[in-house]
Order: sequence, then C-alpha cells, then structure tokens
Amino acid sequence: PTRLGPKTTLEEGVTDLQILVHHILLYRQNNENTKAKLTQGDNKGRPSKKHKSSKVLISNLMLCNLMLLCKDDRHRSGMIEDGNAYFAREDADEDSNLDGEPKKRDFTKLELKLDHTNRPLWACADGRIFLETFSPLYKQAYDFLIAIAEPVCRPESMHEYNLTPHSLYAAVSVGLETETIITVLNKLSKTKLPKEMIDFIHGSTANYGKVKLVLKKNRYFIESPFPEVLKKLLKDEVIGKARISTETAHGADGFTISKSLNEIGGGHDDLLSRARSGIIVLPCGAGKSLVGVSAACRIKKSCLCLATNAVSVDQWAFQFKLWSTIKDEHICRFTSDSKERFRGNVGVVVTTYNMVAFGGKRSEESEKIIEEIRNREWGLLLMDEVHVVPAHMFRKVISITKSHCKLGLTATLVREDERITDLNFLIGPKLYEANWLDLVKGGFIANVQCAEVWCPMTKEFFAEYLKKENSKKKQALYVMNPNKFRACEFLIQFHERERGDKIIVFADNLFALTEYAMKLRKPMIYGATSHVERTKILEAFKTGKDVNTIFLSKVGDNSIDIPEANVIIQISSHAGSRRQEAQRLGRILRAKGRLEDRMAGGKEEYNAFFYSLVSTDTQEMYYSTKRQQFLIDQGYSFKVLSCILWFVDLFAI
Amino acid sequence: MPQVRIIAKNFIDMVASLPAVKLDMLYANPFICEAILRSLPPLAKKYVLQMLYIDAPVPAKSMEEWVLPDGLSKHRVAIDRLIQLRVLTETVDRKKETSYEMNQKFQLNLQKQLIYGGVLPRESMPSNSVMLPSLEELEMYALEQWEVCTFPAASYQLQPSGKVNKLQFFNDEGFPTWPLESKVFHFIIEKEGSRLTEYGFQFLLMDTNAQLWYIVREYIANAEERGVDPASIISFLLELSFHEIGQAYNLNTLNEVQQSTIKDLADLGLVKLQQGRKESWFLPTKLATTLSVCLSDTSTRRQGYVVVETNFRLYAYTTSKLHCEIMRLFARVEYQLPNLIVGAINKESLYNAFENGITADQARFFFFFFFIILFLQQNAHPRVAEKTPTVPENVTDQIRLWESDLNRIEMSPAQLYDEFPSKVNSKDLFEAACDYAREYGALLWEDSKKMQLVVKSELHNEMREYLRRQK
Repeated sequence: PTRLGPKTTLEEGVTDLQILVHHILLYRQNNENTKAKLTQGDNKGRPSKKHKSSKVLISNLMLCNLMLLCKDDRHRSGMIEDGNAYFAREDADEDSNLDGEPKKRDFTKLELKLDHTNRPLWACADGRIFLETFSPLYKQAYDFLIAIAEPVCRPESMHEYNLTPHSLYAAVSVGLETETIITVLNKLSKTKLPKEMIDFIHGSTANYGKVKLVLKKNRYFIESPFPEVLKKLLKDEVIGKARISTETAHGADGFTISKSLNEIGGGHDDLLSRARSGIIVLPCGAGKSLVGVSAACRIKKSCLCLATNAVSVDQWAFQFKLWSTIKDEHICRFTSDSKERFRGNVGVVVTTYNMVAFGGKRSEESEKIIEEIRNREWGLLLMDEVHVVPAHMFRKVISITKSHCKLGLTATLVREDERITDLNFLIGPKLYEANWLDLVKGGFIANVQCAEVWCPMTKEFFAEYLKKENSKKKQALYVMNPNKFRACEFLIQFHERERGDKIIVFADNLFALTEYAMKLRKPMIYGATSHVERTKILEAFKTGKDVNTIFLSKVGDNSIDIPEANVIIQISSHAGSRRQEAQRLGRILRAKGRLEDRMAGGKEEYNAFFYSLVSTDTQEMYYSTKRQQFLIDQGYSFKVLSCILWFVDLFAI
Repeated sequence: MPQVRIIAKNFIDMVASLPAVKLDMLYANPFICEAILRSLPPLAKKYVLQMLYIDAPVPAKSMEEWVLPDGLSKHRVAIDRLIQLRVLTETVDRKKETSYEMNQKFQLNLQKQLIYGGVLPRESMPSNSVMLPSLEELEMYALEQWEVCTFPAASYQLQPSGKVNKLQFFNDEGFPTWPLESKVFHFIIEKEGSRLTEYGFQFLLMDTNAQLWYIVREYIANAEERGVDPASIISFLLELSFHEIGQAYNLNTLNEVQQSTIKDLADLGLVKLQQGRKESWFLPTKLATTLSVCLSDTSTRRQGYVVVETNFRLYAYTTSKLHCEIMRLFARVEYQLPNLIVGAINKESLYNAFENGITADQARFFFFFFFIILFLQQNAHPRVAEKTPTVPENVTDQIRLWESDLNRIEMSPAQLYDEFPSKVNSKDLFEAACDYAREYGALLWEDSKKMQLVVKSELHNEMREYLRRQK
C-alpha cells in the first residue's frame, strides 16, 4: 500500500483523508499489538503463518478504515487480532488446498436444539454457515445471511456462507445491530451458537459505524452520535489540525475539516440526503443498468456515471434515456470522441474511468469539462464494472470527484489477485449479492447450458506441445489445435443452421482470433478495431440476418451489450480467471423468449449455450477447472462433451 | 465383463438353487409359501393366484393366450421363475404338448395361508408381563448393533498400519465367537487384516438391507458346516419376518436350532434378547421384519441421507459414525456437525481410496466407481430423491471420466534393449530382435533410429537367449 504520512496534502480528497486517519491509528496499533497478535494466533489453534508484512498492513488498513475508530483500546486490539486471525485462516485454507489434505473440523459437540428440523441452518465456530434451501424459513434466512455473510457457494439444496469482518461491517452499515445479528442467527440455527462465533460477531461489529464522513457544500464533515469518539479524533494531531473551527458550533455531534484551515465550518444542512455507499453484485442481464438508473432517479441529483469503455458509455447514456424521464440535453457523454459540454444546473455525465483518471496533458476542451466535474458536488457516483478497475485508478477517480454517495456495480466480485477487498474501503461494503440460481428459477435471467468440450490434441500438435523448446508456444499450440478448430466450426454451423442462434466466439489469443475468423469468414472485434467499425459490426449482428456469428477478443468480456446473442463459444481464455468466465457467460444471460417456455420442463428449458473448448491433456484442462469454479459455486454445472469429434464426423457425412 | 460376486438381492435365487427335496420341505411352511408369493414378479404372482384353485395341469398354449403378444417376454420370465422355484412343474405329454401344474404342497399351504391367515407357531407374550422398549428405542438398538458389526470393517480402511480394532466377532485369542466369522469377514477384509478387499468396499457401500441379506446368506451357506440344515434356518428366518416388531416372544417356544440361531441374530441386531426373572424372550426389530420386504420389494429401503450438489459437495444427514467412515472412503470430509457431515468429492479423494486399499486392476476400478455412484444414488436424501437424476449428471459423468482416466494407462513390466552394435549388419540384428518380440506379441515400443526396443518382461529370458544366439 502507498504510505501516506501526515505530510500528504489533504487535497487528495476523501479517500486519502480516510486512509490518512486510519494509517495513523494503524501505526500505533501495529506497535502496540504485535505481541498480542502472535499469541492470539496460537490461542485460536490456527497456524499463525508468517505474513508478508504488506498483507497484514493491507488487512489492517482496511479494518481500520472500516471501523474508523474504536471505543477503547482493549476493544480495538481485540478487533485487530480477530482480523488477523481471519486472514491467517484464509492463508491456511489456501495451504490446505495445495496439499489436498482435508482440514477436518469437528463440531459434533454442538448441542442440537429439540426442534432443529424446523430451523434452517448450522453455524460453525470458524464462521462457516450451512443453509438448507428447502427449509420453510429459507427465504427469511437467505435475506438475513446475504446481509451478514459472504456467500461461498449456492447450488440447489445447500448454501454455504462465511462470516467475515467485511461482511459484518456491511451488515452494520445497513443498520443491523450486533444483538439483532446474534439473536436472529441463534433463532435460525439448529444448534446453539458456538461461543466463538458470538465473540467474533461482537468483535467485528462493536466498533463499526460510529463515525460518518459527510459531504456538505463541498466540505467534509465528521459526524458521530458519540461525543467521546469525536473528542478522541480531535486529539489526533493530523485530524486536529485539519479541523476548521476550534469551536464545535453545532454541539458535540460534528466538526468540519476541509482543504484549507482558513475556511470556516459551514452550517448544518439537513437537506442533504445521506445515502449509503456500497457495491451491488448482480449477474449480467439481471438489470444492473436499471439499478444504476433508478438509484440516480431516487437520489434526484446530478450523477456522474463511470464506465469502462466508449461503447459502454454510449450504452449507459442510452439506458438513462430509456429508463428515466431526463431530457436528452441533460445527459452528456464525455469520451475521447465525443465531448459534450455540460449545460444547466443538473444532469448526468457519462464517461470512462480513463478519461477522469488521465494524468497527461488534456485538450483545452476536456480540461474544462474535467474542471467542471471536479468542482461539482455530485449526488451520485455510479461506477460500472468495478471489478475491472485497478485500485489506484479508483483512488484517483474518487479523489477528483466528490459525491454524497458512491454506488459500485458488478457481476463478479472475484479477482484472481484478491485485490477485490480493496473495493471495500474505496467504495463501501457489498450491499447486495443476488443468487444466480434463484434468478434463473424466477425466469429473470437465461437458463444456460454450460459445456466443456474436450478436443483431443492431434498427434502432430501434441508432439510439438511436449517439446521443451516450444514451452513458450504452448498456448498457441493448444488454441490452434486443429480438432478444436473443427469442433468450433461444427458448433457454429450447428447453431446457425439448426437453431438460428446468434453466436459470439471469444478468443483471448489475437493470433487465434484472426486465424479462426478469417478461415470461417466471420467479422471480428478486437482492441484495434475503431469505435465506428465496432458499432457497425455490432449493429449488423443485432439486426442483420447475414451476420450471426462474431469473433471477439477480450474487449468483449465486459459491458458490451449484445442482448441478441445466446451462444458463446470460447476458444481461448485468460489462464484460470474465474471472473472472465463469469463475465463471458454474462453476455448471454439476458433472458429471451417467453417465460413459460424457459421454465423447467418448458419446450426451451435451455435456450442459451456456453461452450468452452478445451484441448485435452494440456494446461488448458487445469485452467478450465479453475475458471469454472465461480460459476460452479453459483450452482451452474458444466457438462463434459468428450466425444464431440464423433458428431463432427457424423455430420460431415 | 468382470464377474460380479456380490449380488445382494438374490436370496430367492438361493432358495431356488436348493435341491428339490429341500424346496418341497420348505413349502411345508405356509409362511414360506407366502414369502415366495410376495417375491415373485407381478405377472408370476398373477399366475399363481389364477391357478391357485386349479388342480389339473394347464396347457402352455392356453396360458400364452392370457397375455398380449408384446407381453410374451414377461410371460417367459414369469414361467421360468415359477419352474425354477418348483412352484410349477412342466410336463410334456405324448402329443408333445407342454402343460404346467402347480406344486401341490405349495398350493395347499398357500390356500390355507390366504384363507385362514397365518398363525405363528408362538404367540406374543402379554404386554403386562414384560417391560417392552418403545419402537424408537428398539430401532436405535437395531441400528447400533448393526453398526457395531460393520464399523470395524470401515475402520480397517483408515488404519493402514494393520493395527485394527478387534472385531466383535473374534474373542481375545482371535477365535471366532460367531459362526459367521471368517467366511464373511475374510471376504470383506483381506487375510492380513490391514485393508479392505474390493468386495469389502462394495459391502460397505451397500444399503443396510443388502448388507443384511449378504451376511444372512453367508450364514445360511455355512449352516451345513455347523451341522445345521440350511432349510430350517431359511424357514425360521422367513417365519421371523412375519413376527410383529417390538412384541415379546418367549424363547421357550423355539427349538434347539432356533434358539442358537436367535442368539446369532441378536448380535446382528435382528432381534433383541431380554431376560425376566423366570423367562427369557426376544423382540424382533425392524431389521428382522424387513427380511421379507427385501425379498419382494427392493424400493422400500431405509430413508436416504446424502445430498450431492453440482459443485461436488456432499452433505450427509447422519449422526452415525459408520456413515462418516463410509464417506471418508471416497470423499474429503470437511465439517462434522451434530447431525450433518459436509464433504467434497474430488479426483484425489477417489484415487486415495486405491492407494490405501484396493490394488490397481481395471475390473476393480470399474466396481469401485460403479458402486460409489450406486451408493450415492441409493442413499439420496428424500429432498433430492424425487428429482431425476438424484445425483447431478455432471457429478456422475465426472466420476466416470475419472474412472476412465485411470484406464488410459496400462502398466506392464518391461525391459529396454539398447546399444545394438553399430556395425553394418547390426541393423539386421535390431530388426530381427524386433521381429522376434513381435512374433510373441511382446513388443511394446521400438525406435529404429536410436536402435532401442522395449519388450514385456515375461519374454526377457527368451529374448536374452535369442540375442545371444544371434551373436
């Protein structure tokens, strides 16, 4: 993490200010608690692994950031330890996975309640929760668990959740109190709650939510109903200095800090709504854009909407026009190609992360627009696809823009580098995560048949693959495997001719993308394709009868809206990325056809198909298993088609 | 196709294989007649009832007219079964016309049984004279007792050192205390006592009823060695299944053979023995009464307890240690809760089973994977049992794929022959060596450039001799 000392200028804005506060606390705590941490790890019987110091720092940083302030020192140290214990456990989990050695957790001693059959869940001392989906109390239990815990996997009959500090912070931030959490959990549990879990909930929630940072008239206020907390904060050197008026003019419930110490604290404007910031996780096609637009409508203030690329900027602008009553002239797009000036007092600006975070010299025109964005007090900062944006970019964006409320949207809150937890303190806690399977059952998103197609390597390709000198060409070899090409060709033909489907073929590997597309005479879009051409191809795909298949590189993974497509064929991918797999699946999740046809037993129970072509006996097999994990945890299953070549031959005759 | 040694539900086959005299003796007992009737395929059942009061032989031709043309194969099966069991006898007259007649003893006894109802040779003791356990208690007792029997077999798997718990069936000196003894358990556990045989695996994965049948069958098969007539045990067991669960029956109503048998059955949890001040009595448990259920209806079995999810996670609703051990045979147990075991199936967990227990052999792989899938299907929790398939398709597919993965490589001991002299004519020597090995079907691999060949070990001596001669 970037080290922020007291010298950091406060101009960097809100996030850095928060981090600053917490760094100061962090350094102190670190010094105080190093010893305590180690012994705690031992006490819990969990292997206290040697952390890389940076990891501890990150976790502490986030914890500190989230809990903001602590009631008393003992409590505080308790929290930090719990946090460490949690992270240590995560490490240990990873280790056990590596060894393939099961970690047996024996909780048979927990006391079953007499009427346990009527209750829907089991809670384990290590934070794991099992939920029966067939329990009559499932719905209530599910709503509650999703608010307090992190879903691990949600297949049909049994869900698993983990209680984590983050998930509990999120619970507190939506207004659940510690005692409520424990009581409800206890009510739902088949056994008496393990003491460890009760302690954990206390430890994680007791200190959260005591202080609020509120934006008023472009200045930040720190508010708290607990005067002693404010006093404590004021004693801090940096915060004390940053304070604007020494007199707490509005009683003990708030004080103001600002960029400049000369400014004088403002009045208490109750007009400002105090919306909650956070992240909403919805699968693609489930209506993320609609959620974003309706959030903006609810807040009824200027909204800055950030997307990942120019195409999706256009799509967002379109969504605003479609779903809201806003006048066209109040929506402006700000991209390298279109620089629409902001007119009037309020409105929606749609732009990309890159445009805002851009550090180099800007044209005069865009400099003006950026200045406007910077000076405005935004009601809502709407951030699309938050999972793809690197943390430093976020920090920059958030420091440039000031908003009352930040709303992040994403379909998959997983990253292979686990940087996803950064989002917790950059945007806010996860507010909601939809259950994919429930959405499928409700007919809200398409019911996708997933298949892993096994393509044996041809003799010649496999011989080359095994050669040592070709170790760098391995990917090219398994992607260009002629059997895979045949399978791909067959699937395209089959779906185009037999079913009249619209097909997207994904290839990460540019060479393969071009080769396949040229050989099969299909249009393709990749990084270098111009905006105009992209739009043209997509338009032809959406409306034309002749273009039924397009080839996309990874630029198509996110936020290109192609609702017509219902078949995906994946010929190469980014190693073991679970997120990419889920994002790509998301391209075809939009429900099509009539609802009754799509339900179980209907004539089109599956009307969307996801094929992942894998060359057998190569690295791809390993990656493929890894990639599918997220979707499998959401209850999807991949059918292995191991003899597709047989069909290929059959149809060739 | 490998030979299937355990066919769990073939008790009737065993009855059918008894010599004619023994069979006729069995039919002296009306209860056996009823049990046999229950066991028959539906069409055969109908024939028996249809012919119950016909004294004369029925021509085969007129019987064939009873069924529609497309039911003819079922008709054959039914007739075959009835002849096998000597319920019907086949006669061919001078005109070469076949006709069937019912076994008279069977017919009479079945008539009696159906008209008057079965009267057991003993009546239950009045409930005020004895303290009866509740039905739940009795069922608990039966299951516990049964697990005590099978649990050691499961734990064998987990103690690779060969240090195992003494079986319930062996006394301190290692001598069998129960007539079943070695026959059954040598079958399940290899003689060295350190690991399960593949049949042991199958045994553990069978449901309780199938296991019960299996043991009882061995028990009957061994009866003769103990100087007991198997038919008398069969008849007693069948009779027992008509007793009422949880009622007390006085031990003094039993003959000598039955008294010794009932003690063995108590070990298995089929009956509970109790002793009063003056008298002793036995209480049949559910296990005993399901004996006859096993005979006829394979679909009524104990409620399943396993849920398998599409993500290969396994949830077993059970409090039984035995079940937990069984899970461990092929899954990674992750959490144990008071009434739930959480685990996951993966390639490693399945392959581990081989490393610990079963030696690599294709036929055994086949059994192992086959039985695991069968086990998961048969023990499906009621919540998922209604669904088809009960075990997600992708899981069964994957298990089969893992299985076929094991079959991709075949190992055979071999020898590498190298460094053929690089003279002009040495090429011929190499070629000749290859031809020689090929002739015996032992050539596994050759590389004519490097002049290397690999030959099955079994030909090594001959090969060496051959090469020496060529020089």
